[in-house]
Amino acid sequence: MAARIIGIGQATAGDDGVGIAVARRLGEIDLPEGIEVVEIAEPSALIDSALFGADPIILVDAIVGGGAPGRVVQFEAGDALAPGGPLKELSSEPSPARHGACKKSASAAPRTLSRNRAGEGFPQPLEGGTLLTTHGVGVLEAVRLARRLSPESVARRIHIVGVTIERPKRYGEGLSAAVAAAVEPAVAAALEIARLSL
Amino acid sequence: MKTIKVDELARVEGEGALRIRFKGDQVRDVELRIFEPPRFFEAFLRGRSYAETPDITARICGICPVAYQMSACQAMEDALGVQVEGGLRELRRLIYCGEWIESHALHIFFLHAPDFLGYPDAFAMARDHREMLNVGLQIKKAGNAVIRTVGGREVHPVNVRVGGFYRLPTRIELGALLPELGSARDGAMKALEWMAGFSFPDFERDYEFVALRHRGEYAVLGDRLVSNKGLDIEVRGYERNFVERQVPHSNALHSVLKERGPYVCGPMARFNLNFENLSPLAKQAAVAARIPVPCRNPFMSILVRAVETIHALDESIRIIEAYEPSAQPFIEVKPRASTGFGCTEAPRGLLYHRYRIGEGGIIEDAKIVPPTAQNQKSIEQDLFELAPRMAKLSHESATAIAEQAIRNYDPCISCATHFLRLTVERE
Repeated sequence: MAARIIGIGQATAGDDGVGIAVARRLGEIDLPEGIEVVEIAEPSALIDSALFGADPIILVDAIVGGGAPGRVVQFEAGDALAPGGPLKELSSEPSPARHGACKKSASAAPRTLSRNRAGEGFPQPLEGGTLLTTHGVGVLEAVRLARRLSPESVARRIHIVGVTIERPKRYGEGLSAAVAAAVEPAVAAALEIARLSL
Repeated sequence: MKTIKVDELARVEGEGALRIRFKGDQVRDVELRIFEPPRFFEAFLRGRSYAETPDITARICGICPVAYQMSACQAMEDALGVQVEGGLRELRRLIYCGEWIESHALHIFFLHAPDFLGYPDAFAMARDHREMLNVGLQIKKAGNAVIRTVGGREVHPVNVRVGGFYRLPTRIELGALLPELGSARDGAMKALEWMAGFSFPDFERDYEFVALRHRGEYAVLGDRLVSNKGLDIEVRGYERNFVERQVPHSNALHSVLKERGPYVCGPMARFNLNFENLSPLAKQAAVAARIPVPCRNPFMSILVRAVETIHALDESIRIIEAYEPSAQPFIEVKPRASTGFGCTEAPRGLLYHRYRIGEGGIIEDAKIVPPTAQNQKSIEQDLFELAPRMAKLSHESATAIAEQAIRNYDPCISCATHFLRLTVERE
């Protein structure tokens, strides 16, 4: 089965477009057979189509609150969803009535990349970072929901490659310098995971 | 002073809040804050070509890109003196139906139904209602398939252009969608029957509903705006009749009728004003679900969305069965200095665009009024009316009802909010 790399974000929202930038960069590369690349703007698309029909799936998205912009982190969605997992989503801030059940501890650190292409030391463990999310169905929520609704057909291996950003801009194109510099390492990270499965 | 406060964070934008303040049991004020100055994207469009608007504006919203494309095309075609009719117009209605189906299915099943059933979210609801959520998924997929087939891809369709489409789908491509649409329609009928059994808070207000009207259609595209309180104008008269007001507590502009103030657009408005033009099956389903016409209880909007979903599935099937590709995929347009107006029915309600373009077709000025900006004042008024009930509830229940009341309007990602925290203060 093919590996699928999914860039998530909005190209017109500044650094929130980093997932899309990674997908587009991958589109310019001569990819090995068996790796497909998809762009999505909104995580609800994950629950009905994007998480099916490929394995592994690598989600590339922006992360807010994970420290200085431009760091690349990598982890498995299952780790993030486990109690004490490394990430919480913006949508899962405590709301006693609706979101309490989604609250995640931010204590554990995700696995960071072992190297990057630029040859610099790799990112510090990410603490308390939050995957960006929209409209009630966030990235991790979508993964969790797809696993509960369609356990037999959803991809078994779902990885996340995150790029830390500051607050996204409103209606601005292009990435900040720090985040733009993280595109190549994020591309390399996503490809490395995809290649391992070929 | 008791204050009920809901903070939110949305993907792109950020902070907004709901604050309700009480003095004793009396509500002092309700402020729904949405920090979204719509004119940011208007500035973003200035200096771009008229031909780019469908693709640029589609990127404003991940949930309703087709609505942005359609309002942009209508406005540009109005400016350039072109009317897209016949088969091309039918194809536009079809892709728009796909977006209604997809967007309504997400909201009904995954965001709003958990409120009625007392679950914190769809994930918790899935433990007990997996089958029904899978029906929702199946409906959502059918909508996506329509968008993908007509629009070239699901997210930010690329096949729409001023004057029509880049490429027309074949009869075979569209025909292949029929089995999926048919079973989604069966699923939507079953879901409406199920949701009709929910319990709806006893709440009604005397709203002014505003929707598009177009001869004999349950209007999606159209040229007149009507209301239940006597409004009947051409779309180009929008800004003579509606005004956007800056309010102190929000960066967002509140849209109101100059003469009469707040109004409601979206599914409830369309249902009440164009009920006769629903497909026979959708009408019959609405009657069976015992939805009153007119319906003034916003909590019943979940049922109205389900009726619209049935209608959009029915309409998609009708359009596909009658489809004959037009001779040309688009009508040629020539740029000229002009101003154009467009308004279409996004899943959440009226989406108004106005553009002034110069000789070379370059945009000099743009105005976009999204549905949530139009409904925002009514949402506040609903919350004001509900506040005395909330004052008597536990913090948790008050939060739940405030969020449910806001979700009645399905506020959009880019256009609105995602609610997280509620604070209560009493004087």
